[in-house]
Order: sequence, then C-alpha cells, then structure tokens
Amino acid sequence: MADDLSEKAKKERRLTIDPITRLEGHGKIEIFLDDKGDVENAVLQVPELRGFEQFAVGRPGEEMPRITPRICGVCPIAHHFASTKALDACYNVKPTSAALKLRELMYSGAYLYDHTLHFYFLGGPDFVVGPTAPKMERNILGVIGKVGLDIAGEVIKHRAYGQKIQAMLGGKATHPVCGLPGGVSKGLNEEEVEEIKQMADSSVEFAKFSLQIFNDVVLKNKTYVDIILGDTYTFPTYYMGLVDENNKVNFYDGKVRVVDPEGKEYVKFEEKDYLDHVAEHVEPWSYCKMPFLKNIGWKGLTTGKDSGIYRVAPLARLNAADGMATPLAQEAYDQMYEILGGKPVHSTLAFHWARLIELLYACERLQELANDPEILSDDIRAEPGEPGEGVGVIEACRGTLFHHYKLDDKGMIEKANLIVATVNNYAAINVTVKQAASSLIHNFQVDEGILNMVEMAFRAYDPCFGCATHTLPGQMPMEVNLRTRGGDVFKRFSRGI
Amino acid sequence: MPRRTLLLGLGNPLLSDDAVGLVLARKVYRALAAHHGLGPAGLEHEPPLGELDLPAPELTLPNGDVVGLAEAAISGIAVLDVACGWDLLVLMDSIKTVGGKPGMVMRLGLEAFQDTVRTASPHDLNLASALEFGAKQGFDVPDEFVIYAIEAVDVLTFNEGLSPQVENALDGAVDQILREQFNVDG
Repeated sequence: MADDLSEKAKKERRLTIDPITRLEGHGKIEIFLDDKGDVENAVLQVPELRGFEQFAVGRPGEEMPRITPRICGVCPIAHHFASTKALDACYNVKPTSAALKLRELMYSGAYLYDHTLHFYFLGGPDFVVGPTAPKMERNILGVIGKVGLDIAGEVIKHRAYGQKIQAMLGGKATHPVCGLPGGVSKGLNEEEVEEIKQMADSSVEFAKFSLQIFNDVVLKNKTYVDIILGDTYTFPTYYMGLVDENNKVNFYDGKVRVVDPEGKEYVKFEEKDYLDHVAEHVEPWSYCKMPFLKNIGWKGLTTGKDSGIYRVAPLARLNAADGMATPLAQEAYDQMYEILGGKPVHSTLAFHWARLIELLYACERLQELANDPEILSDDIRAEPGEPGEGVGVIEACRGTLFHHYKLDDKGMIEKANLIVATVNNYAAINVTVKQAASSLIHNFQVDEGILNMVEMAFRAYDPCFGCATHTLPGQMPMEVNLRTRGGDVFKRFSRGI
Repeated sequence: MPRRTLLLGLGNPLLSDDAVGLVLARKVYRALAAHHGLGPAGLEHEPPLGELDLPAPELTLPNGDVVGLAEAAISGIAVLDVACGWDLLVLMDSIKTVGGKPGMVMRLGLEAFQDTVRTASPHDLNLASALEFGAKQGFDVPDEFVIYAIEAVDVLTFNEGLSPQVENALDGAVDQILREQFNVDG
C-alpha cells in the first residue's frame, strides 16, 4: 500500500487521502519534506482553549480554586491547589502545618488516581500489549488479556481509592471545594484516617506490583528496551521540577529546580520569581505558546544545552531532583538510573517508568501522612491578610503548573496568568514529533505506522490538550499531513476524524 | 421490570457551547417531569450548571420506569462511575464537525466509535472501550446507549452562555429525545 502511494506521490507530487472528515478541532501534524522526500520540518498544531485570563478578571479571588479545575477535566486537583497556593501568596498567609499536610495527603490521592489511570489505560498498552500489536488489542482490554482479569480489578480498586481520598477532603472527587487562602475548609476524623491508612497500605503494595509488571513485561523484553533507548524518542534538554529542601522530588511544594542536559543544576528559584526564568515563545502556526528558559533564550525547535527548551512531568521531575523522599521510591529511582545508564535520562519513553516510581512515592507519602498524628488536628486555617499579588506553583501529574493572580483592594481578580503543565512540554513534543517523523520517513516512503509512533510519543508526555477531554467523542482526533516543499499535501493520514 | 434510564449531560459549563449537553439534559428531565405532572426532583433549587451531585436525582414515571439525571465533565472510563446501574444511557454533548450547521442535532450510537475502539486519545479511553471494559469487570453497565449531540459554534472560549444558534436548537432536541426515547409527543 505504502509503495503504491509513494509511486503516485512521486508522479503527482501531491496525494491526498481524504477521510470522511467529521470532527474538527483535532491535533494536526504537518510534515514538510525536502526534494529527496526526507523530513525537513514537522509541527504539531493543537486547538487551544482561549480567554481564561479574561474570564477570571473581576471575579472574587477565592472563587479561583473552584473555577480553575474547570479549565481542564484532566488535572482538576492540580489546578485547585495551584490556585489555593496562589491565594495564600496573594493574601500573604502561611497555612497551618496541619492544613499543608491535609492538602498534600489529598494531592497524593490525586496522583494515585491519575498515574494509575495513565499506566494501565493509556501508556501501558503500548508496552504491556506491545507497540507492534494490532491496534484493536492495544488498549486496556488487551492489557487485561495479558495480565489477567484479577489485576484489572486491582487497578479499578486503587483508582477508586485515589478518588475516595480526594472526595473525603475535597467535598467532591472531581471539582473540589476545600482549598481556602490560609488552609482548608475541612479536616479528617479518626475513622476517616483509619480508612485512609488501610487504603494507603494497599496502594503501596499495588504500586510495587505495578513496577514489578513493568520489570517483567517491559524490561525483560529486549525489543521494548531497545525502543525506549533508541534514537527515535531520545534527545537532551533541560528538565524542571519542584524539589524539597533536600532536592528530593515534591509534588506539592518547594522550589523550582532546573537541571541542564548533563544533569547539573542550572537554576533553583522560588515560585514568585518564575517570570525571571520562564518566557513564552509564539510560533505563527500555533495558538499554543511555548515556554522556554528566558536566560538561555529561544533558539527554535532545537535541543541541547544551547536551547532554552525544557521538559516537565515524571521523568523531568526525577531528572531535576537528587532522589525521592521515601525509601521504596528511592530504591526504584536508583534502579532506573542504573539500568538506563545514569542521570539524566533523555529517553521520552522512560516517562512511563518514572511515572510508576512517582506512583510508589505518592502511595508511600500517603502512608506517612495518614500516620502523622497532626493529620487529625483541627488547626486547619490561618487568618488571611490583605489582598495583593501572588504566585502558586505545583507539580501537576503532567508537569509544573503556575498560577499567578493580582487582586485589587476588594479581593477581585485584576490580572491572572497561568502556565499550564502540558504547555511546558509543547516545544519538546514538537521536537519528538519531528524526530519520530525523521526516523520513519525517507525518500517519500511512509505508511500509517507513523500514527502509532507519534502517538506513543504523545502518550509518554501524557499531554492534556483541551480537545482531549470534552467535545465528543472524548478523544483526540489526529491528522497527519505530509507536504512537499511547495506546501502541497501529498499524503494525509487521519484517525478519529 | 421497570426500565432505568440515565440522562447524562456532558460538558464544561464555562466553555461556551461545550455546556450544551448539561443544559439539554436538564431540559429533557424537566420536560419529562412536567409531562407526567411530576416535580423536577433534585432541580427544585437549580444547582449551578455542572454542579449536580451524585447520586443522580430520579423521577419515577407512572408506568414504574425510572429516569435519572447526572452531569459531568468527564469522558471514557470515568463515565462508568456514573453510568453503572442503569439500563439505558442517554448521553448529551456538544459536537464539532467540519462544515456542520450550528444547532444541528445528531443521534449517534456506539458504531460511531468503531474506528476508534483502541485507546485513541492521548488521554482517555473512548466510551465504547470503557463500556466493554466495565462489562468484562462484571459491572452493571447499561445495555443500551445513545448519544445526542448538538453542533456547536464555539467550544474553545471561556464564557458562560450558549451561542444563539445552539440555544435555539434546544427545544427541538428536547422534543426529539422525548419522542424517540420516551414515546412522548411534544
């Protein structure tokens, strides 16, 4: 099929496979070929949600933790707490120690929920079932076929635990209402804490088991390891993540640390100083901005030490830190870097592995917090000061999330600026797309396999472009256009449109 | 056995026409209650759009059938959390099609997902796979499933309120759903 198409392409220089185009607002990949039919450039265009900052202006600041989870159905809890932290700063109030622990406990539940969903339902199928398995099998049903129905039950159970913990403190699982400047609106009673302890114990075992599956199914299969370490998905960048005072990974709080492509600390800054270090580049072909390290500069979609492109999310967090703050996760962390040849790891597909190490950390942290006597304290709120300006930063599952608000003297939003987690990776995702395309397309030869290869890169980052979460059919349709130098489309692949 | 039908409105109440599924589901629920001379259980105090809590409020129709109302901004596997325990799932949402006429009402079945049964999204499982997964797990997933989607003008801009073309399509969509799913002629 591919050969026929390529013959036709050579003759006509333009070939369009026109699908029954039903949905728009999809991710679109444009690949530009040179005269020899090799890849010259490739870009990913995604629809971007618009106007949130304007929507926020004039609303009471304290509404933001309830409104911002609506930005995207994928990271609601991260938005809730980034927003709450920004309000702490706006009102110049330090939450009580118990309130911080309650927030972190709830947030660990969110990680349990989210990382479990991603590994088993989204990213896992590529590996557990296999990257070359027929596409109808490469889904959760295929995973069940491989690992058994009992395990699927465990997945469902622990995903539900994460949701329950979020609901216990948040009031509701998806759109929480608990975060207030200076604290939280609700604490925990002894009965609830006992239940969380049991869920946490079970979750630690589940996370260990998930890493074991990764070990048995992925790491013992040379083909998979070769794909992880292969050139298609590997390139050096800077990495960003929140770290605690010991430079260990922290999801909820700390300083933002950036390491260079060699793994050395490039900068460590406080939340409020983010604009000194991060700027946003705009490409004419996309509404979606591309953040980069301001003091290195934007050098185009290139990688390495001279390019300001950085990456965020699981592997980036592990690269940006010196280790994990809990013992079992630390062991898993050491094992990953030993097997993959030391820090930092540049392979995009290692994000999946890093995600499971983070799952283990979240479960251990849940266990620690549930066993901390202070978690039962009713000292859960400090009194806010006068309204002003503030920044809140948190590690969403998909990366570093910045909320920055300026309140007027009545506490109304005067200005809001957000850098959403996935957007930090947008430039790097484009690099990945180009790299994957370059390794797969030569001399006008290309087949539909490119959709799978590009999707695998997407899923590693676990991106949350708005289109993936709402409008029917709850999936991200994708289109790949191959263009000749003159700009003509000579081939088009699509899925879900 | 009385039939249990869940009206599930999907969408983001702050994202322009993306909210149409939420608005439509409430309208169908109210119209059905009014048709049977019942009060709109659970909607007496009209919670903010998208904030209706589970468990879903229910109407018991004169023939014993039960109709529930739920709303969410979810997709894929999370739909199982809401949809289990019902016989028929009537899902309402916005849709954007190339060249589609704003306000057009589309009725879709599971076959609309046939091309995308795999984990198609970078983010979630599609509905067909989610239901199949739920059934394999022994969950009480709905036996029947239908989607009503209204062609939107804008689903990318943060704004409260629907476009006029979409707003104007609501009454017709309500009539269609009542007729096709509940044998009620408006």
